[in-house]
Amino acid sequence: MTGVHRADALPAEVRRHGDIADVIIVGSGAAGSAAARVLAEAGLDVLVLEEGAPIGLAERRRDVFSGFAAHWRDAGFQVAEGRAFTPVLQGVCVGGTTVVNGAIIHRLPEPIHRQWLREHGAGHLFDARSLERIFDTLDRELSVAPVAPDHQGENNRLMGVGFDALGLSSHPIARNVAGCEASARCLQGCPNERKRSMDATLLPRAFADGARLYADCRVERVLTRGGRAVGVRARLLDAITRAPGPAVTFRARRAVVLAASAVETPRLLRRSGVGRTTDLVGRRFQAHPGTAVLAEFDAPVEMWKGATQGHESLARWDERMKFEALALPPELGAVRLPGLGPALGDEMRRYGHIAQWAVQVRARAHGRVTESLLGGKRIRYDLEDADMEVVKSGVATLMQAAAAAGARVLYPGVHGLAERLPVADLPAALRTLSGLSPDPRRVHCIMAHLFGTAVMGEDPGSAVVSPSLECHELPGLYVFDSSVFPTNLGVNPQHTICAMAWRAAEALAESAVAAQAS
Amino acid sequence: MRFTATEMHMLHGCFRALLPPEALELPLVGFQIWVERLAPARVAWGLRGVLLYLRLRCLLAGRPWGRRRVTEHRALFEEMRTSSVYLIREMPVMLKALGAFAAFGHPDTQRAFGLPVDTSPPFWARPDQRWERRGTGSGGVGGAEP
Ligand SMILES: Cc1cc2nc3c(=O)[nH]c(=O)nc-3n(C[C@H](O)[C@H](O)[C@H](O)COP(=O)(O)OP(=O)(O)OC[C@H]3O[C@@H](n4cnc5c(N)ncnc54)[C@H](O)[C@@H]3O)c2cc1C
Ligand code: SF4
Repeated sequence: MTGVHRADALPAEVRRHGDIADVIIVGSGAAGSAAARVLAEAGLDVLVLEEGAPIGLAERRRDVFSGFAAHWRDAGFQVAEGRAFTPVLQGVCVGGTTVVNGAIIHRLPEPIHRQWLREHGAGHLFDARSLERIFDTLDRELSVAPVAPDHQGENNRLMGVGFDALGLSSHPIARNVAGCEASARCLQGCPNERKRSMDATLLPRAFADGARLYADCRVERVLTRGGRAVGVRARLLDAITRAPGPAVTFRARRAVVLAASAVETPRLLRRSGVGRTTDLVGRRFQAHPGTAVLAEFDAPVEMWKGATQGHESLARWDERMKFEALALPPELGAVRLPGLGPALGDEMRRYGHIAQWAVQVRARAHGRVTESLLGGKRIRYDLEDADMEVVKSGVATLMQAAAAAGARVLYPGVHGLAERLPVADLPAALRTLSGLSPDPRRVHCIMAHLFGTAVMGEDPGSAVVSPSLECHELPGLYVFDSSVFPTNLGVNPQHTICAMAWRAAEALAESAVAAQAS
Repeated sequence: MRFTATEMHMLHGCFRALLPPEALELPLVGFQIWVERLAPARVAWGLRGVLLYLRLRCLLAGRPWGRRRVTEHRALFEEMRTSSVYLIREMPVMLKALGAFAAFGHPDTQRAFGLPVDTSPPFWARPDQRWERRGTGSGGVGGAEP
């Protein structure tokens, strides 16, 4: 991809003395790419610094462990600690998590937007009309469309059947793909290059307008002069071992934009001295924890055929839950299925008849991202009792839907219920489930949608960035990723993250171009 | 963090107990070496803690881990899986997760279970076990060099 430069291929001059640009963007995921796209089009000289590497086609044709090792944060081992350990999944590569995500597209839900306008001053930039305009543009540039019926596959189709039978509305998911081959491998990075992730859409657009991206380049801190952000210090990483190499300084004439994700951005802010006065940075970490129910059918399901995530239900969104079909590669399925040794083999022989659907919870819980005393980060997060009641209720719905769709065995994944549950035992299991204590250690959740660690707001006493996403404490430094979201969304966030970054970048471009002219 | 030879040996023993026989022909030691290299320090220490717990538990029960047969290891894990203590019942899950990544990500095992998903072996199972320079794939959208 022209525009992407690996650290070890940078000119010696840059490796020694760094580089300069109008705007430096840290991170090339949903937020960073949208910002680069807009700022470059406005004529600004844009440099994106990305810790990860570009992912080649060969690397997308890989098993899960190899994929995790190559382009997931901490090789897929990142966890949040609370009463339970909860995996926190993130991509580290050119295009960020959008390369390894499920390609589900949603706009910012109206009730959430209204709350942000009312309580967090978001109307300054993020008015409904501007966001709609940007969502429309993004829909076009990312080729957003609902899953075609012939790409549904059984896993997605059966979910519709089950939810229909329960009288709960559901529908095919709108996805950012073009010519999808229904190979159900979105989470390893599309092996057919059909997903319209950032590396295939907004980044190439930005490069066409002159932006450049340095990969293998981990930013360590923001540099300041005279109380303003003026650049960053970064480490160039070895392309194979990822060992940190030389430190390099990159200077920004106009602004530094952090788009490193809701986990990494607060760490950068703190290392750069932001947030010492309010202690807000890294707090209010929010997420959509999710868990799944597996179900065995008589007829083949073959999860490996179909859109990875092709069907969803928002029927209980007001109750803080969202349901999605999610095709699981066999490696991950084997972890969820019961049985050890030969017994696990027996379960896996029926894997072609297994379906998996998940519930994601708009959890009330707030966690925290801090630095560990042992070095590295520490993510603290604990579901509240009320959240766990939502999880339990969601699991109950999924089990009922699977039974209604004709499953004969359920795998609820809840400690306190049978691991392998014949549907005949479902009524009794539902009664047991509702009586179980709301302890997060009962279920295996994962978190993939992350928010709130540098919230926006007008009051510097209660917010890290202003409603135009500039740091209250450090002019010239902006945060464009979902760290700034005052709440979680209840829907998949990529589109909203892109749209917010896009809008904030428009405002930044306007002021930068005006400053240049004067 | 480097595991000791005893730890590596134990980990292999865990995989033998946790995985189906069809997976045991794989070069799992190669996989273990990569887990050792890639796991962040906290996870590696966690794994070391799990192995230590298994050793102590077996010792206190009067029959050391090393003297137990695979079926006994499996029975121990089955017992731990039903523990009311979260950390104890999660230990076999952590080990099983690692083993499953190796076993069911390999086309040979997948084929044995009728799962036509992957076609080429993962990097840790190849004879050269080479960790490729990332991003040098066939030059697709994300892969071409500048
Ligand atoms: C498995 C999974 C499935 C998902 N499915 C969906 C879905 O279907 N639909 C949806 O809307 N959302 C989905 N999401 C969530 C969505 O992809 C993310 O919310 C979104 O990509 C976050 O955007 P971001 O820009 O904040 O961060 P990211 O996309 O994570 O990008 C951050 C980038 O910054 C880089 N970076 C971090 N620190 C540094 C540093 N110090 N220096 C340089 N670079 C740095 C990272 O390497 C990364 O590339 C999913 C997430 C996961 C994990
Ligand atoms: S379902 Fe398969 S072809 Fe379609 S976008 Fe996902 S990985 Fe690519």
